[in-house]
Amino acid sequence: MVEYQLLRAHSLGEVLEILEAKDNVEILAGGTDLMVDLHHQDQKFEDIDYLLDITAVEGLKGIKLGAEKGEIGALTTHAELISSEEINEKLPFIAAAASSIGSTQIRNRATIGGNLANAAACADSFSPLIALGAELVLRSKGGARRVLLEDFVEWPFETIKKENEILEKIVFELPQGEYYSSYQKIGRRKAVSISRISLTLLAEVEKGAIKKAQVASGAATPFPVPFRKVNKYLNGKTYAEVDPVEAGNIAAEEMVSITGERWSTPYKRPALGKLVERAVEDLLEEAGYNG
Amino acid sequence: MAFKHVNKGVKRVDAYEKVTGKAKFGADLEFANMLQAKVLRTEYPHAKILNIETTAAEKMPGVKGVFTAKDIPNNLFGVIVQDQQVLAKDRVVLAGDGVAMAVAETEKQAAAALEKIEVEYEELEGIFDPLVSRKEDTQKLHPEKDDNQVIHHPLRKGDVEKGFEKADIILEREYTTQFIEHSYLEPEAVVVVPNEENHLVSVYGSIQNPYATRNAVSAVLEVELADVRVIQNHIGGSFGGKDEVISAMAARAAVMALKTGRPVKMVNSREESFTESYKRHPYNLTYKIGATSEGKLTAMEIEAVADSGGYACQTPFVTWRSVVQATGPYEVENVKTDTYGYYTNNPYTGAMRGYGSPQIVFAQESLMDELAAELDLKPVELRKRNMYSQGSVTASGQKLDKHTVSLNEVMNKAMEAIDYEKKYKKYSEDQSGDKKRGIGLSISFRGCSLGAEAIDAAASVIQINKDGSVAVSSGLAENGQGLKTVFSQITAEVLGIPMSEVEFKELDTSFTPDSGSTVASRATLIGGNAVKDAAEKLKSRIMDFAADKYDFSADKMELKDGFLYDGQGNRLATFADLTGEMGNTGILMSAYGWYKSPPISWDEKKGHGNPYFTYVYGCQIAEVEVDTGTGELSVINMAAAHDVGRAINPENVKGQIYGGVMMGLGYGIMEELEVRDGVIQGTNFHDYMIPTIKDMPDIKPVIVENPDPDGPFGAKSIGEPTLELGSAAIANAVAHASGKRIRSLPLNLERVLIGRALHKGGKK
Repeated sequence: MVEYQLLRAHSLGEVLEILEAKDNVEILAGGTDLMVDLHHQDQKFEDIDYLLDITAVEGLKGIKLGAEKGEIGALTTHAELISSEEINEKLPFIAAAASSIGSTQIRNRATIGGNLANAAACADSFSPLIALGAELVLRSKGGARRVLLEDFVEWPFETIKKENEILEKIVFELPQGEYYSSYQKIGRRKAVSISRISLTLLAEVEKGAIKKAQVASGAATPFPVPFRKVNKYLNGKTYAEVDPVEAGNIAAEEMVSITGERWSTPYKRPALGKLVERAVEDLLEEAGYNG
Repeated sequence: MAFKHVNKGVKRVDAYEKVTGKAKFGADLEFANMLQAKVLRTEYPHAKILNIETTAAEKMPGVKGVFTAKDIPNNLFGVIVQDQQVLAKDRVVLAGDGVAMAVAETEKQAAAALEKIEVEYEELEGIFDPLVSRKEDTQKLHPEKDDNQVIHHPLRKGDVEKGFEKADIILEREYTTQFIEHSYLEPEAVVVVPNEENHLVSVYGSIQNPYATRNAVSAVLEVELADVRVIQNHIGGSFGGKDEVISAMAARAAVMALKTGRPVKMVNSREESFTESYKRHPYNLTYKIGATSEGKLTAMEIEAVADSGGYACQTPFVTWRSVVQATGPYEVENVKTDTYGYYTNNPYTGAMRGYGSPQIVFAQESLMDELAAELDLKPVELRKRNMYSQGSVTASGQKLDKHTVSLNEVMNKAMEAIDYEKKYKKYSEDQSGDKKRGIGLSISFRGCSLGAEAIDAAASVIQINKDGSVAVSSGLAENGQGLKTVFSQITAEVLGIPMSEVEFKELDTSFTPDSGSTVASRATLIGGNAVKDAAEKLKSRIMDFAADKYDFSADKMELKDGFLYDGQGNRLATFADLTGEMGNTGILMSAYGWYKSPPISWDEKKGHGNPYFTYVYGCQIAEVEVDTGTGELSVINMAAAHDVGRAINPENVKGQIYGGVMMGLGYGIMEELEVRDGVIQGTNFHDYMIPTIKDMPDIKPVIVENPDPDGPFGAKSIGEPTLELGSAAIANAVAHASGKRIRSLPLNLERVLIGRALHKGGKK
């Protein structure tokens, strides 16, 4: 029987005080995973003493996009991301990822910070933010530190966030100049579906060439990582030099080099390759390159 | 014939209470002094029970009793074969078998007590594949039986060897289907009240077949049927699923209600429901088909092996429907069919919408497209050259001449509705890009009602009260299909009264005659005739009385809109005044209705006879888009044309079509209950995928009406035919789009992209 005391914080200061003062605290944000697991008396909660409800903390909410820099508060819901005009205009792949998550009810409650901090292998928020080179602000009473999102997860459901830290916000630099992006997801049905594979490609382009490409995938690897070999292949190439099929093959092999041959590899290898191929094809097409 | 109420899309008579939340479902029921109970289920698919220690559990707070098989008067029950254990006695035969149960003041206390029960098992080797179970040298799961076979139905017609000799082409193919969960919205729930209104036990709850549940409870308690009363409540879906599983639950609750002398409630969680309930049978199907180069079928040899799981349950009848319909609606002179069911240690399998047809239709209608491709014929053309028409003779030797054989009509109408010819032509050409479209169809014939399974009769009771209000009850049950509305329409039509004067009453086994089970898409056909019979008896009584009273000839007068008319537009009396007067005169204003189906015949050894007295015909067409790069499959449009004889309520028929098409789509492309070594992997809707509204194609329902001479106002069946056709139509459309033939369900991402399924932990 999981037993705990429920605490409710009303400010970021209170959150930090509680995290500093108490041990074995589990944080409740949207609760869409946590409440289900609690209901099932999941063993992982056996040692918790407190459940800290942070849903009322205004300081953890909101989207701010400047000319060069942007930040998203950890408590921002997926529904808020989807309905944000700024996000749709400047970072449409983030809105696309958010709208692919769960159901309407889930998107109304679940937060982007919760999706990241829970760190499931199939979490849909990682790939767009990794492609963006996002950093996380982890704050404790003693101060804040910034970590690259791609370094945040150590293993599925395990992150480098310390017990006395809260994930405050996601910060990133907005892509500059001309850029293209895409988000794709394969699920077993068209809604309320866990990713089999998701993929984000973000590329800044200049004078008929790819200046900086970032390809990241969800659910393809035990925890989300950027596909460095694909990025390397794409970076600096002129459109004419880019072969989408080869980019796909590189990504597929890079995935297998990370995961090894798993039960799902015979499917994921060609499917991931195809998603990368399509993302690159779309980029070339949007950029007006006709081969 | 102009109808007033029948053949109209009147609103459901139970809509208001359902949409306003007033309807009471099993879990809503509360009785004074009520206890709650929980069942401890085994995790082992096959094990000997060495000892069950309940002392600690009995001492837990609030606990009123902990019981095991030794507390059950008669531990075995079953509709067909009495081999299902109420609680496992010496041995568990499937993971999910109940081994003990606890009853307490609250559900939580009962659940806590289960934690304290200690069961000592000796694990036994299990069999998890019916193809292994049927092997001669395999272990026997039931020592009292000669082998692991539950049933074998043979059918022989002509000489298949000679038939294959005449063939220019012979195809041999294998198909497989999967375990399917019914996925009813409402998990199982019952309350059993002891010693209520002169019944030993009264059973309330989410019960599909009240008489079957009464039979089971009385058998288990070893008491007379009259001691057991079953009252059906509103039910949140069943689809064939709330029969044996709910009977077991009712029997358990009844034992505890009698032991404690208090009402006992049991409600399954979704996980408990997944774990314990029976599933749709997985089939292994092998088809051999021969045809001339002109596309005329010469022979079919069919073997279907069904996984019965731990118990026989409905396997004998499910596989019987398979043997009757296995060739599909095609004239074949030489047929050899064998359908089998085998015990394994998998979850047990029973009735589910379709009942042995979705499996064989998937195989046989996939095969027809494969054959058409080999013969370089269009799928429609091959079908038209072989399919049943008026007077055709089926594989069992039945001549189809007593009703309209409308395959050609349903097929043409479905094709028209979805613009088949144009799309077929377009998608047959080369398509650029990874996303390919295709269109595929399937057709079927389906025997209506029980056929040779059992006596096929049903009853109704209609009472006209002195104020002219009319109460109708039936021995068949409303399971969400719209029975109350359809039966009310029939009553209103015959008696010439407004729908608002008809009140449909809940089924109560003590007051409505045993009408068998509400299964086999038989309610409108058999039960509708019984309602019509009662209404007509009353009508004739009324007309006789009126003829006397007004000195008019009875056949000149008319009952309409709640009035008696003289046949020349003049009102003679209101229905209420007239029937009130009859009641006051001492005339019986109640009537039993009864209907027994026309004769049928079946020779079980040869598979010969007239197994059903009438059939329905259907055609479904699926238009799909296949992403050949990722394996994603979208069903874009579907047309479903079904001959229902007569639609008593066309809107309700459409509802059945939409629902059946969606369940068929789930079966076809995503649903699969993964069972590994007898254990279900994932016991809720997080793991078990059913289609969402976003997966729903645009569905064009086409109602075809060729009134049946034996149906009430010509009506036949619609519930199950709607589900059996979709998976084959989709598989055919996928093959048309991608060139890849998938012979196993479901057509998931992996099968579509790489042609095979993948399972965590290797091959299942």
